[in-house]
Amino acid sequence: MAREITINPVTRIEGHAKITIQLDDAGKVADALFHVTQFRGFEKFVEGRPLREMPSVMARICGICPVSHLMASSKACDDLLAVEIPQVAADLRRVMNLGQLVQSHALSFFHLSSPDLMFGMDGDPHIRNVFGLIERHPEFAKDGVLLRKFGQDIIERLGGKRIHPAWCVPGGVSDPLS
Amino acid sequence: MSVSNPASDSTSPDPALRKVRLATMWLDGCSGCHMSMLDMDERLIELASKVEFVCSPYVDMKELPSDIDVALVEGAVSSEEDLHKIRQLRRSTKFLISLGDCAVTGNVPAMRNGFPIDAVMARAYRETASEPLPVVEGEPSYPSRYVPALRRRVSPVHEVVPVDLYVPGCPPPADAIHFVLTELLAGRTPDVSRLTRFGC
Repeated sequence: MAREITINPVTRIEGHAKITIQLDDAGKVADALFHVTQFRGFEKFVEGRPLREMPSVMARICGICPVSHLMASSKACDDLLAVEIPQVAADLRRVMNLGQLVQSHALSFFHLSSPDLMFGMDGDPHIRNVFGLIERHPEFAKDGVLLRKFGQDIIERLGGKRIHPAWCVPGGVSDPLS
Repeated sequence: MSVSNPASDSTSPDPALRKVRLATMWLDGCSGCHMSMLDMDERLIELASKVEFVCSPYVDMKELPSDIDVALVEGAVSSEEDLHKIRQLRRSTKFLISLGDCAVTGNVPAMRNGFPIDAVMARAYRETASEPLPVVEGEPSYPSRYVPALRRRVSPVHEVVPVDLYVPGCPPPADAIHFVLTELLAGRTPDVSRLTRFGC
């Protein structure tokens, strides 16, 4: 008999999703679908708003990678203004982006994925998470926490706050590094 | 209110040793508030010895337990599934905290309230799509099967369930979140007005 298996929610991911697996009458997988179960509407609700708001609004697409959205939006705004930003600004943006790569990858690996590797894909779901790591592999967990902290500190040093720093703006960056 | 001495205790014979049962949930948010929680860095490691995260995007529990002491919810109520989840959370927790500006005021997700849903979906799925979705007779021209229906209006959490504590900020700083949790663990209701504000 054809039936459907639903995995809802998918946990330890950076967002909202569910998975459905359609089995045919013989019980074999006929199809598998991945559903993103969240929608905001940024594409529409920014219409009519001032250009200078765009990077900071776009940062709120994601709290894990706001820097990526700040950068992309700022670059689009640079193009719309037809400006080439100062080299120092480009270099400073790059440093912040590298900081984000460090923190985001640390999170993705240590906090979200490593429980599957450290406890096994069939490990006890009650411990198969970052808190289980803190309890049973404390040095490893601490490494992950401190690596993420390092990336976040770079972002904070440049932009004034770790998440959604308003520092990346159309035309460059708002403050020098000092 | 006190969370450190709950009346019912099913997980440890000694109430003083029982870990506080904490849940976190994200609705229509960006996860920045959850990231700010992780920004407690080593303090999170320390906190983990006193609290048990019984349900959270960080852990693999699919079912919401019914005996939660403190729940932090991030994000606005934007879909029918968000509404269902927050109502269930309210029933299941003694203390509910609206964490961050989206939960407290609606904030960025609520920016779509100025536009009809059809216009928002058309912009995302048809006008800006690199490939238009196949048109199926009788079905809307944007995803609708399996994914939750969007509510006409995005609401802050307190418009749909009673909230015990508001922690504004976009996101609230890790220091404010740490203060809230340590105060609650000590049996005090925290005042965060000096530590965070809207937009923070």
